[in-house]
Amino acid sequence: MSDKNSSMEKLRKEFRRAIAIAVKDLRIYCLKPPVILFGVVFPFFLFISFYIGKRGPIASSIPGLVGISLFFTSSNIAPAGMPFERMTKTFARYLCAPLSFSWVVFGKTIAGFVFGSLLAILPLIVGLVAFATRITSVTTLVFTVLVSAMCFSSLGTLVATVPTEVPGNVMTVLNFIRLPLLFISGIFIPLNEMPLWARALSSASPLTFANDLLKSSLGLSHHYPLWLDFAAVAGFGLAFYAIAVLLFKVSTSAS
Amino acid sequence: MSAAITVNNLSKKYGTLEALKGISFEVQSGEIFGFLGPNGAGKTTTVNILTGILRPNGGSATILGHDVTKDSYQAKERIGVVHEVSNVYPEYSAYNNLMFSAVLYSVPRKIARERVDYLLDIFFLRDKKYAKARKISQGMKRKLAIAMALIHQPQVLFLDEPTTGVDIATVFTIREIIKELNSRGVTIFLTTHNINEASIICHRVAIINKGEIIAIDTPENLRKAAKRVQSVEVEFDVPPAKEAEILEYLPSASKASKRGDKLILTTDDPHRLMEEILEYSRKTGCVITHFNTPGPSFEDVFIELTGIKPKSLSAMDVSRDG
Ligand SMILES: Nc1ncnc2c1ncn2[C@@H]1O[C@H](COP(=O)(O)OP(=O)(O)O)[C@@H](O)[C@H]1O
Ligand SMILES: [Mg+2]
Repeated sequence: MSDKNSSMEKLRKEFRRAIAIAVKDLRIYCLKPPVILFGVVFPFFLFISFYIGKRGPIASSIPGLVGISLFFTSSNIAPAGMPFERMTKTFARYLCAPLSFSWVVFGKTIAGFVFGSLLAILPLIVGLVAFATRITSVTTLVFTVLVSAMCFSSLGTLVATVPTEVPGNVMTVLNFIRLPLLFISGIFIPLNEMPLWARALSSASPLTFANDLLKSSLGLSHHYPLWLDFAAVAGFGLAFYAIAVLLFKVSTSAS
Repeated sequence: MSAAITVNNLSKKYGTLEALKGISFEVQSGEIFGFLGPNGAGKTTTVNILTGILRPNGGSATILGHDVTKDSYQAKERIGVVHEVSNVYPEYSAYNNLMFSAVLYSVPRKIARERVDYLLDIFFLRDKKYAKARKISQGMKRKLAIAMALIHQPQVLFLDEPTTGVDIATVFTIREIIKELNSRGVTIFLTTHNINEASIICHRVAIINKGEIIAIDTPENLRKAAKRVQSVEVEFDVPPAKEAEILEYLPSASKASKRGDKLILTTDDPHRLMEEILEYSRKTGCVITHFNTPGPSFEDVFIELTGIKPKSLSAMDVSRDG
């Protein structure tokens, strides 16, 4: 009984310490140049250059914009912060603090999750106010944003395991992974207009399924059943997260 | 007294480099334990293993009875760690740095605020409370890093070369606070490459070199050994042909060696030796162009303590106050 209590107490403490790491990361890194540049400005221009002007009503492109925004903002906090923390050796603080390493990874991931979820509201508001975007299912939309932000943030945490003290190096690796995942997703070419091989390839990107969910919750036609989309995004997220924990454990015990 | 830290045959390799070759020692509760050695001796590696940052390749260690690799959580809650570099968050103020440390160790907010003010006071950082850590001096950063390690009132405090690279006033503040903490029962594990520092604040000192502990001794013995092997540097306009020759004039010198044009003399009485050098200068007409007393060399103290002539020792700082 008391054993169970003390392990609950330990869990509660570790959770709060992880949240403290998330809050600190958000406060320190959300305004860092790489975060603003690669997380906010870059995806916005990418979107403009590829999408606008190509097809008719702008309202139909809002889910894509929300998707890109979620994808880039959520995955940017951990990779922007980690090299700094290696350089200043503040990273060592986590290792000697009373919380297991999985909790550190959790805190780092929560930071990107919160940042991404909040910033996804911006393009949504633009759509609602200016382009007559309609939310057809609030529940689906909320769950989509939350699950996708967690998934993309885990991808960011995974990339942040690259053992470097130079932020630029991590950004390079990050974009090397993100851009292909963006191009093969159904954002620029709708899934039902793709040849079969491209559609098969698009399943390798979590953004494909997140975008499908966003379309559905914003009143547009979608390709896959919702349960499949959710399962895919969650599955990708869990895989990214598990690999991130594993890589961190390997890289810290090897040094 | 019980053991606060036990280390048993601990070893660590970086690739093929053996940074620790199976070291063992114990630190008692309430002790200030010094870990003295030159650069690259393995001090930081030892601290990193004990504090859970690195995993050893062999051996074991416990802190407050908890194994550092298998059951580190309990120990981690009760230790404070001051790393070799002042790893504060540069974008955060002193206040935010301390408050972050507080939540990381589950110190309630209200108590944390009181402790922040107290710690800023004793480290003379009160007026830097809201200054970004990026903008304060090296010495202040070090003091802030130490304060961050104290916010949860740890039972055991690890300090990795806390006085290296900071100004002299900060060195004194840090030493005072270490003594004060210890008088209130905190066990201190302190690494240093400064013989003088080890001998003035530690209760016991382990000497480590190239991953091996060579001796564990009292600071009295360290001081005595250091006193017997003080060195004097002298240079004449006409250098003596042989070192042995000049030793005849200088009975207080036990050893002489050449470094460039300078003559390095070892003695237990630098004052007497100085007079003998002046006497020599008068007798022979050689003019003294340089004179200095740099203090004991680590190598000499080492030989004096252990009787072993080491194959090679890395350079070590032996300045009196730095
Ligand atoms: N991460 C590392 N990778 C490879 N070698 C290392 C690493 N850290 C330390 N070393 C080497 O291990 C030895 C001990 O280093 P360290 O414990 O830092 O010594 P000290 O703190 O006494 O100066 C040195 O030879 C150092 O070069
Ligand atoms: Mg060191």
